[in-house]
Amino acid sequence: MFKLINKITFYGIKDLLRSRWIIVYFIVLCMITEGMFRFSGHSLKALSGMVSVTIFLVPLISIIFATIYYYNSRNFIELMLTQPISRKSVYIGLVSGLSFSLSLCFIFAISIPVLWRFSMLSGYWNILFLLIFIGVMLTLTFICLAFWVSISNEDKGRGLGISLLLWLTMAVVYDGLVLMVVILFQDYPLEKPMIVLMFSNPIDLARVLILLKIDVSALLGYTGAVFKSFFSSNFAQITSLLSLVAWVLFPFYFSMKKFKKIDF
Amino acid sequence: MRILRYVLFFILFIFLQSHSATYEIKSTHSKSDLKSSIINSKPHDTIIVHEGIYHETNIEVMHPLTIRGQGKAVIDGQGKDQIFKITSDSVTIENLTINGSGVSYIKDNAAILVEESKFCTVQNNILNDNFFAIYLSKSSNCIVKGNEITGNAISESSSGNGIHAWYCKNIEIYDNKVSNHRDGIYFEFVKNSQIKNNLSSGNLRYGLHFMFSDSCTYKMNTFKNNGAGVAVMYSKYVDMIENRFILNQGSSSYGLLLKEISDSKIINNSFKNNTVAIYIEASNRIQVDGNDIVENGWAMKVMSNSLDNFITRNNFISNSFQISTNGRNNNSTFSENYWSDYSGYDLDRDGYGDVPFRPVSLFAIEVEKRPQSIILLHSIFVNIISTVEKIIPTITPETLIDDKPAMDIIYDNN
Amino acid sequence: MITIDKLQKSYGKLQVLDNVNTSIRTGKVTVLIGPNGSGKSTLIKCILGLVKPSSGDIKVNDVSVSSNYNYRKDIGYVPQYGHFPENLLVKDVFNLVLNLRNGTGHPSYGIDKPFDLTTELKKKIYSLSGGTRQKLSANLAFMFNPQIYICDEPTAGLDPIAARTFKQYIQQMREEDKTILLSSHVLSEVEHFADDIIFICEGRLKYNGPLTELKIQTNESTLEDSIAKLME
Ligand SMILES: Nc1ncnc2c1ncn2[C@@H]1O[C@H](COP(=O)(O)OP(=O)(O)OP(=O)(O)O)[C@@H](O)[C@H]1O
Ligand SMILES: [Mg+2]
Repeated sequence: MFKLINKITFYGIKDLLRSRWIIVYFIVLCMITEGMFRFSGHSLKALSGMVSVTIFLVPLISIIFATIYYYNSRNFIELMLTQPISRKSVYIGLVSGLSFSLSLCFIFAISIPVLWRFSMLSGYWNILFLLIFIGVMLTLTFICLAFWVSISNEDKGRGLGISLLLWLTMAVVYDGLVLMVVILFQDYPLEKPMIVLMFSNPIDLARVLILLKIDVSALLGYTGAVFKSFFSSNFAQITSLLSLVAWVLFPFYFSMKKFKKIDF
Repeated sequence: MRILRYVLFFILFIFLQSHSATYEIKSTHSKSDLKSSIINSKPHDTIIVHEGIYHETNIEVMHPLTIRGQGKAVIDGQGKDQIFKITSDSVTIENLTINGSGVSYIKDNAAILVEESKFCTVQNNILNDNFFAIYLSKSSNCIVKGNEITGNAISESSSGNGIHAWYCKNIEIYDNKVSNHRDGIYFEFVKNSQIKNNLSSGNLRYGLHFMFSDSCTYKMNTFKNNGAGVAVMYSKYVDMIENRFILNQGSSSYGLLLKEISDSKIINNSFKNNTVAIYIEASNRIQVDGNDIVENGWAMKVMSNSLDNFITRNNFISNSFQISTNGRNNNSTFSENYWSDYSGYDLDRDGYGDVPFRPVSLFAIEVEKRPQSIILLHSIFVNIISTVEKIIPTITPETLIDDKPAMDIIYDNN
Repeated sequence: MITIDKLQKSYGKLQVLDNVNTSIRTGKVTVLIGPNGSGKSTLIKCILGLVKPSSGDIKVNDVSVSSNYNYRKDIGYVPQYGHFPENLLVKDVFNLVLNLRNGTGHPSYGIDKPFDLTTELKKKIYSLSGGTRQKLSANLAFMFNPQIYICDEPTAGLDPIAARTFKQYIQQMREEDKTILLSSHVLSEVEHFADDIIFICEGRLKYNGPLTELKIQTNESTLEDSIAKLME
């Protein structure tokens, strides 16, 4: 079975790396990174700019790309399913092919501009690695979410629409609602619910994980005990890292379950 | 006339030299040897304390004297009482290791207390585990230099300060290292004094605690990792120059806290990784110029009861929040600073952006009102509303702008 | 041998297959007939595992298809509409399928059987004519010399000569004792091949048995009339 998955993955990577759009994604990301480092004049500033870009762009591109890829691959999927291949293998192969391609694209786009600035990054390597980690995790999460949407919707236009809406909700609207909750319930102890809310959205989770590194000085200014112990503990970092991984595994698992059930 | 004075002084010097004796103290001698030597000595004698451990407390020095350690001479108070009490002018204590002045809730027990004296010098000593280490009270023209002071403070109430000066004048404090005390350096009612090139780190409360002390300068010091940073309060004419304020993090922690300060200068300092780099409250006519303010939670919090402060030519780089304030009034001037999040252009190429910069973000104000919203820092939503606010300001102080933001980092600092 | 037991399939409220019980005999040609939209393709896809039944069970050589995929090794499937990755070359599709099947069988075998596609190999899939696509589907199905052939209207888009070639091949396979399930609307074809007939209408099984029995049972002389009678 692994051999088969590998074949499908490899086939997907080969197919995707030839795709025009993935090259555009790579070049744009690479140029943004280069621009950040060139014009910000300060590594942390550049990195924190890259965090904003990553949090914004990676989920958006991943979900759109994966949705389109799924619908465009339907023929390929149907062909494979007439062969003695399990649906699980087909699914895993597709997801991993796409994941590898988009992740590699992200990793290289971020790393190449950094390579000739080796010295500039001393002291900030951990943040760079964390950035790459959250970028990859968000890529995987949003690929899996895109699959979940596309598998559930036969119509491509509808699927793409729902994917975009999902992204908009998670990336923008969600935080707006959280802010509204903060304002409406400002007299109540909100710290625990807030942490729960942050963990319930992979984009927020990724952001908080980076905040703990870049903006810890500001976070430590907060007086509430729950945040305080949360912000200053290793436990928080480890749980957020693990939760981010969980945010890959759950959509992966649920869309696989869905994929096993649908009709072609 | 002047020449005559010098000659007289020289003769006096020779005279004193020829008449001063040197006493040698060894640890094999009986316990009260040091004390009796002091009593038996003549003014301007020198007592050399040889290597060894001496359990002594309440050593009073009542006439001019030099007490010098040779090798590792340790005076150990074993956690009881005061160790040296100097009540005479021109006493020098040097090269000694002095440990364990006693914790007390009624008496400020110090390793070295200088009381109502002039021209005293405390230098190159190692002071460990004392309640107060060096305590200057109502003294003047004293020098505290090159001491290494390490306390064992656990709680604020059961610990004293590293270098404590109270009602003093013309004091010089330089090249010391102070850590693990309540306040590293403490000034209250001190005039015309200098604090230079010290390292104050890991103290429970303030690295430097400075009150009611006019016309003082502190320069080239490093304040690192102290509980609440540095506090400068109720003073005039204070010059704060080329200091480094690092890693002072916590809910009420500041790189530098100014309260009711006026006519003072904060020049060419560097602030890094502090929760609030500079906090200014009820302070007027302060010149904040040429500082590097990098990677702090808040670069500056300027309360709106502050007037006529000039914040110029500073580098504000990668702070989570640049400026925060508590009202819509602003009576300070910001100009020619470099702001790392400035995104304007410079068409006339004069090195300054053509559009003014608003260093107070909407979100900074939101966090001021509802601190728990800080968890949304850098989120896309917050970035969007902050950008909108920058274009059409409705909540942020309208006059708090840098009309001439620098396009590039200003490098001639420090 | 394929057995279908109490098969139900509905798409939402639409009941497409309703309690279908039948079996397809080894070494025989079974033809699946029925009006448009009666559920033929759905039934076939259920056997292939492309469509998941709402309830009921299908066994291919005594192995239930719901929990298995290996049985497809023995099946050559010609879909009603062949789906291939559109920007691949025909050649690539052969290689791909070969590769996915672990390379058992050999490519030259697929390329000229039953249709000669040597001239098409360098063409992109999207540029193929409908009939050529159909031929490609057929070649892929025959490539691994399977035990079971399942063909959904295999001759629908083919020119008469190609259709004849295909039919000859089916004939040949039958002589080799392969199990063959076809769906078709061309009655001459049906009469030409069929050992057994499965007739479904609106998802329900109307007739299931040998072709000869059908005429006897309906008391009609032509297949056309028999079917018309069944539909009443
Ligand atoms: N994916 C689907 N979603 C909803 N309904 C479907 C789907 N696929 C098929 N149907 C419906 O199921 C019914 C049976 O379709 P099917 O394709 O099995 O018919 P058929 O007998 O093969 O017809 P034809 O002879 O035209 O090929 C039709 O009413 C069709 O509309
Ligand atoms: Mg059909």
